[in-house]
Amino acid sequence: MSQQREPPLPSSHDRTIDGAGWIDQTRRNPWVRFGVQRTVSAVLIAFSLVVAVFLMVRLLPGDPARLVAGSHASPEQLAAIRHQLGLDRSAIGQFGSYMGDLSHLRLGTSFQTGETVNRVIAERLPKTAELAGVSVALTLLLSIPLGLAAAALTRDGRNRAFGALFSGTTGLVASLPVFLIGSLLAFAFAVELQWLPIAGSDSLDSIVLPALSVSLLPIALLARIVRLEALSVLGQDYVKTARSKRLPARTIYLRHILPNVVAGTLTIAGVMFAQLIGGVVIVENIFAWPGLGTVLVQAVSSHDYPVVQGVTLLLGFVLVVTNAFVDVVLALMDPRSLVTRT
Amino acid sequence: MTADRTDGRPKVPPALRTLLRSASGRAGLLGIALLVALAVFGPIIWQEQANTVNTAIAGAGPSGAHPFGTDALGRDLLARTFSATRLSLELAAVAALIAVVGGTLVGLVAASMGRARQIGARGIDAMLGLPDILIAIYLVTILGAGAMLAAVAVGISGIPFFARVTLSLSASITARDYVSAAQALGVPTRTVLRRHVLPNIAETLIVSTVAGLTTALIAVSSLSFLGLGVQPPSYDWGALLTQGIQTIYETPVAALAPAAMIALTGVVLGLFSDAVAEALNPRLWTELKEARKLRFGGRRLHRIVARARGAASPAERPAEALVSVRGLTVSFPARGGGEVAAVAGVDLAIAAGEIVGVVGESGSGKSLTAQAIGLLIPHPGRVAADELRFAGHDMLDPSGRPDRVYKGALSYVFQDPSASLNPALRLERQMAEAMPPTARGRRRDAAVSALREVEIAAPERRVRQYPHELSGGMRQRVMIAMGLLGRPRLIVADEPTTALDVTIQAQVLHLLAELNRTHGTAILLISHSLGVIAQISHRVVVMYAGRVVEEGSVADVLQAPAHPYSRALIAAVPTLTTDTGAPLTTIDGAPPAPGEITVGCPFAPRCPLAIARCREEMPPLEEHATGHRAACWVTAGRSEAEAAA
Repeated sequence: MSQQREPPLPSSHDRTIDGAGWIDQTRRNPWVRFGVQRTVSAVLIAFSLVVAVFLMVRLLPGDPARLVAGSHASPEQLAAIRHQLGLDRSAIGQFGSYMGDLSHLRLGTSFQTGETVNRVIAERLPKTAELAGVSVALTLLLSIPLGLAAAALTRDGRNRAFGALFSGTTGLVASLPVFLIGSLLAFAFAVELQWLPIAGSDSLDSIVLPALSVSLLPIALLARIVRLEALSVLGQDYVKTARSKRLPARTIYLRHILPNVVAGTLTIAGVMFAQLIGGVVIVENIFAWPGLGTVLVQAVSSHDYPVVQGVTLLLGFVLVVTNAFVDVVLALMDPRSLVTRT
Repeated sequence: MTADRTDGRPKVPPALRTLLRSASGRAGLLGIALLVALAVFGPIIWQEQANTVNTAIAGAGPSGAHPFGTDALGRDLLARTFSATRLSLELAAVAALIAVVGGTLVGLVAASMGRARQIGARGIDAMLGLPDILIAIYLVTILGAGAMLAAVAVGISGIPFFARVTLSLSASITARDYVSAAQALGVPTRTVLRRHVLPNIAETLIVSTVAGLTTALIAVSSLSFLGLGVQPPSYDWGALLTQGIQTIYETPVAALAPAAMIALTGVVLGLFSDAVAEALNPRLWTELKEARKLRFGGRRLHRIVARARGAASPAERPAEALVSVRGLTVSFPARGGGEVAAVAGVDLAIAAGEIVGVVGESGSGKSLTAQAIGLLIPHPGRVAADELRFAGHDMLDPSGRPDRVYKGALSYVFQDPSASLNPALRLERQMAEAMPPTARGRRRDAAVSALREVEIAAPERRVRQYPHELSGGMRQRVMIAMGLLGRPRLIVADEPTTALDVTIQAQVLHLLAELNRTHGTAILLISHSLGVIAQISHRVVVMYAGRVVEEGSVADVLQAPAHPYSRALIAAVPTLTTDTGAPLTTIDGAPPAPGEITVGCPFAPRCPLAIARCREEMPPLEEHATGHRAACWVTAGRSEAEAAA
């Protein structure tokens, strides 16, 4: 982190010599460097992901073909499955053909339905994207204002009881497993009250319960983190400066506190998006939401490896791209991150 | 020079005591004790009942004998839930332990890779980019299903998170000055990590371990939900919950007991981790210490009614008085009720265009006085005064809109320039806020010329930059320039040079004096260094233990100090004629200790001249010579030579 520290300016330096020159000389356009770094690392991560997915079938104990076809399968059936999984070639040959198929976006064929994995994904992806998108929007729209408001109410040790209630409630919600939240919501609103449909995605209101199930936990977690982060920002000297400028409270919170809170929270938010996708996978199974999550879990339990591999790769790529995006937003909001983030 | 600074390695607080002081800390500790007791004794007490099959009452609802009903084999669900505590917590603990230990090791290895650290960080990020439940599913698919295997899979999937936390924390710690110093001395990276980094990140790791336990508990039960976790006949809360959910439409109560246990455990751990975080937070800790330091009087203050406001006739008040303060008190709630005064009855006047220096040790109330003048005392502090006027306005009267009067007219320059500017905003943005609203282009012009006025080169480019692109001295100039933009009548400079090196200090003081001369801006200069004060002030105010003990012109106070404390302060400043062989002069003793009840003069215990009366009665601030006042029984009306005799 040595870049973060200041240049050792001689005492007369900042008065007579233009310090900006020093920065420009040593750090030629940090944005370019940043862009190159992020691109290279995203490519490397994507490649590791491809390798991990390739290894998945190869690391299975025992014979994958036997797991797929069951103990009564004929040798011909086993050979056919091994051939489709590429297991009948040398390790390097396997990897080569796997990469070749990938480069043509050929993800193989489902053992269960005979459909191509591309087709399965094309059918299911929009539904998963819809659920994830609504959940992310809900999370951001609710957690940040909630956390900020809670911080404002409990700053400098005000309203201790409310602070305890807030951490108690968010702690409670955040400690509920997603599948429990989902089941309880389904029980309350679909079974008992019959306000909302319990399964499928046939009507517009079908998305309400799944999206709530996915986002309640991240809302609670993020609101908690935003509050703690905002409390620490509130104690910073630059907030004292802003107050001494007699800025209205709105300006202090929105301009001086919010960007620093968001910058401090966003690294976590990237991880939380990943967890949210994990939640989507589970919730889809509760509400029979016809997305990638239901397909993935079915495929895992029926050893439908081509589908498992294809869906895992796709979700992984989506997350790699999202994280790169989060990095860029973070850099735009907090320019120090260009030089300080490792 | 940096006596007030609390940077560097924080002293380890008696965390447990702080922990026990907060309600959530006590509740969390108690809850954890109960959970551990349940884990140890639960299976011993309830196992037999939990395994008793009775098909006659299979799937029964709640009854007196079975408050949470029975499962499909007629086994009591409450007993099963209690005896499942051990396995559930064991699995969560195993997973959390693997995640924390593995993550810390991976993080430290990555941190010690020097220039290759980027690669390690990217690798960790790659793992973090994937949902841990997917990684766990991936691992379980390979490892196979089962309780311990699921815990191991969950643990491994948590490693990237803790590695990232460790790496980020160690990066911020190795950037600290004392660690850089150690590295510059040639201390090997491994030693630096062990000696400096590990102890400093331990706190955060403890907190996140508690949070990690909750996560692990949920992740293991999620695997059970997908049929990949605990396999029958074993059962944890997750497995019980999954069975309960399968029959949630018939007997909803079946899911209740395990769900409640998971939720309760989460709450207990959440409360605990919050309380631990609060107990370990160094900033809060120093504030607590400060707050206790403020309790020097220990006396409960009577509510000071802001009586007789403006009672002083205009003739008594100099016509040009810009700030006029009488009987200013700043008090904080004391532990055990009541209030203690950190500033106890300060009188202070600042004339237009005057530079008034306030000197005193840390804790003497000088900064609080300055903040109180601007009505900027943070909660729960309370400001009261007989009079607080600024440019003729009564600032204690909320209907007079004190914020509007102060906007622009009063600006502050704080001690640490690297912390007082918002890191996320360009200078022009922050500077524009200090100006009355005008066109954007004009605001930038004004910012540029203000920067030029404080002698910052290439101001056109500088205004487009962020604070981190500037050196410390430049940032302090920017703070001053920002303060100038509202055309202030008073600048409060609170230890403006303390965080700067000596040559930059001189430049900043020179700049302040220059602004005073050219614009006629009054300055309230606060410092613990008499040398700094003496350089540019017209008048000096000496504070001790929340009171003004002496005030007068710089010449009077420096050449003929009337209060024994001022004399000691002056004697302690080394000069060119000081014998460099002899030890430096110090003032024996310390200011009144926290909670100490002082009667009479607070300086009496350290005072070489103290007489019996000093310990019994508080001396008032009285005029010793024209414009030179001091609060001392002994020296009142006598010269220094007489008093010493």
